[in-house]
Amino acid sequence: MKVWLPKLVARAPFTVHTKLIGAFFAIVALLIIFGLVVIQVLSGINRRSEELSQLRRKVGAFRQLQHDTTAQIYGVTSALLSPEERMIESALRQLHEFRYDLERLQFVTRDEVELFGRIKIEHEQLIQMITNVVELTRAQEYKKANDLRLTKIVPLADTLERLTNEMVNRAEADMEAKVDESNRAHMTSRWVVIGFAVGSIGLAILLGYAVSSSLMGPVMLMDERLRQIASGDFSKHVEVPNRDELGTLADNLNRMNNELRDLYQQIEAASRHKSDFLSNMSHELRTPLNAIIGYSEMLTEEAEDRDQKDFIPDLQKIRASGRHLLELINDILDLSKIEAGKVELFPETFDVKLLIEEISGTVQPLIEKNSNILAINCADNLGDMYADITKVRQILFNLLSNACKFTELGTITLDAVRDCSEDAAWLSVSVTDTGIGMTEEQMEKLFQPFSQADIQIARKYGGTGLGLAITRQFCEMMGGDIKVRSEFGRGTAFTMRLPMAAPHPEGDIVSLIASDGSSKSA
Amino acid sequence: MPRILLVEDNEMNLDMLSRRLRRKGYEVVIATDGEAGVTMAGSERPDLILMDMSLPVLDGWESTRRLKGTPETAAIPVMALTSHAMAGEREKAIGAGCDDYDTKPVDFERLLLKIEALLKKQEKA
Repeated sequence: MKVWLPKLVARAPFTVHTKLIGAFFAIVALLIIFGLVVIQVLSGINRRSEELSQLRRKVGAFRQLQHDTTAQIYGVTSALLSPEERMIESALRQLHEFRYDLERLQFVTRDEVELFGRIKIEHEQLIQMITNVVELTRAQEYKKANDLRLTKIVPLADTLERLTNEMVNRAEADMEAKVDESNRAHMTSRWVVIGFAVGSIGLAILLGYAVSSSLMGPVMLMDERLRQIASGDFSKHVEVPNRDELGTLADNLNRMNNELRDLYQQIEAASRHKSDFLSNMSHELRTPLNAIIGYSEMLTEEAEDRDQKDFIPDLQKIRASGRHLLELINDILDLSKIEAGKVELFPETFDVKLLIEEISGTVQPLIEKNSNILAINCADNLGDMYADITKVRQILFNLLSNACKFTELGTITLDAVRDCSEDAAWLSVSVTDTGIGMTEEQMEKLFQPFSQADIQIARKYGGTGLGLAITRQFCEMMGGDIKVRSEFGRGTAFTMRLPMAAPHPEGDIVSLIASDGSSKSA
Repeated sequence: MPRILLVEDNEMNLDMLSRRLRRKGYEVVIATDGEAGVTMAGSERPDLILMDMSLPVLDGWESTRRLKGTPETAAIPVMALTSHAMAGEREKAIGAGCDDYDTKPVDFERLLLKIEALLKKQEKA
């Protein structure tokens, strides 16, 4: 019931509008039927009480008849005993009047026709006998009159009394039976009314439940499905039994799902092709570059050996350009690997302070190139860190070389602290320079690939504009983040935060899909 | 002078690396595919092997595995050279039995330092 009824309503090939109107009319019809039943029951009660009062009147009339009969017989009998003409006359008159009364009663006694008929016959006989006795008495034949009275009138009077008694008894029995029947009927109608009321309420509730379930069920299913689609799951279709607008909506939802899935697959494939292309291209470019750099280094060495020093500056320019090209290609390769989700993390335990010292050694030539000063402030409690050291090194190197590039005759400060918050220990490193700084606009594009602050900067300072994009991707891959503060003309400060303990890579290699710049760990 | 077996199929890299190593005073023997490399490691008994990873006939990983699986050549240090500068390549090379790893294009100074370190370690052992 719970399942098939809503399904049945859902399958009905009508519009939602029709279904709602239908349900409304069904409930109205139930109300009307209920009203009709109540009216029927009420009129039944009314009819029965009318019948009952009729019976009461009948019983009254019969009692009166019985009483009158007894009175007549007594009057007539006593009148016959004392032969006064006046009394006899009066008794006879009463007898005749009683006959009219009987005639009138005839209309009330539809059920007791036979009994009433007998009463009438007996009464007629009584009148006849009394008339005979009266005649005998008038003829002063008292003996005969008395005999006739004893042999005929007394038994006739007895019979008459018995018959009227029977009539009263019968009418009373009828009335009692009617009262019982009426009580029973009353009980029955009460149950009928209660039953109909409960049934109607039940049916209305059931109908409401079925209609609302048949509408809300699919809506909720589709809501759930939309949520899944929104989170990128295109694998399922929503199945609803409805053949109404909701069914059409579900069909359209499934169509949209398929379209989005195809589109998503196309985009994914395109993105993969792009990454593969970049990856392959970088790889192919590096092979000849290998030779260019190698041979220029060799020629430099040979020029030194043969004491042909005038070649050396040109050879070094070839080598430097080759190295620069290699850096660009490496950055592109890094980024395409990140985008293709091919970068894996290999965490190990290392001393943070030692790493920072090592990097400060590496960047020293860059610091000196623009006559800058490097200040390093490491907190004493830095200790060990469990992370991919290659990536951490690359992040710090990128930040420092970036600072060097845009600062002249200034100070570059590296502050490293251990920061315990959010139930975890973090390594927080800030690299602050006193260089050219950035405007708000420039900061907005900062972490986007291939977007240096502006084209003049790119021309003047060189670089791919990929360094910071890669840096941020690496930070996010390792569960950290990077923030920038800058004031145009005054300097820039980058602050990166990394968890001191990366999750162990057993079984789950941290990979990254970062086409939209967000990181996911799988 | 120490003898280095260079296993490399790219002509230019081969020419360049061998000339530079010879200039630094090393004796260099050459193989241009994995199988030849494995054979020459047995016959020439080099002090160190520089092994390119993407080689014809037998790739660098398989060649290293064979070298390390043969008692006569197992002790010779193998340095992997690969242009796949990808994270995981180092682990893959070490996993195949290589003693160290460097990326191409080679930073010659760094390569020399690594070669010296490996040879010193070998002497001690």
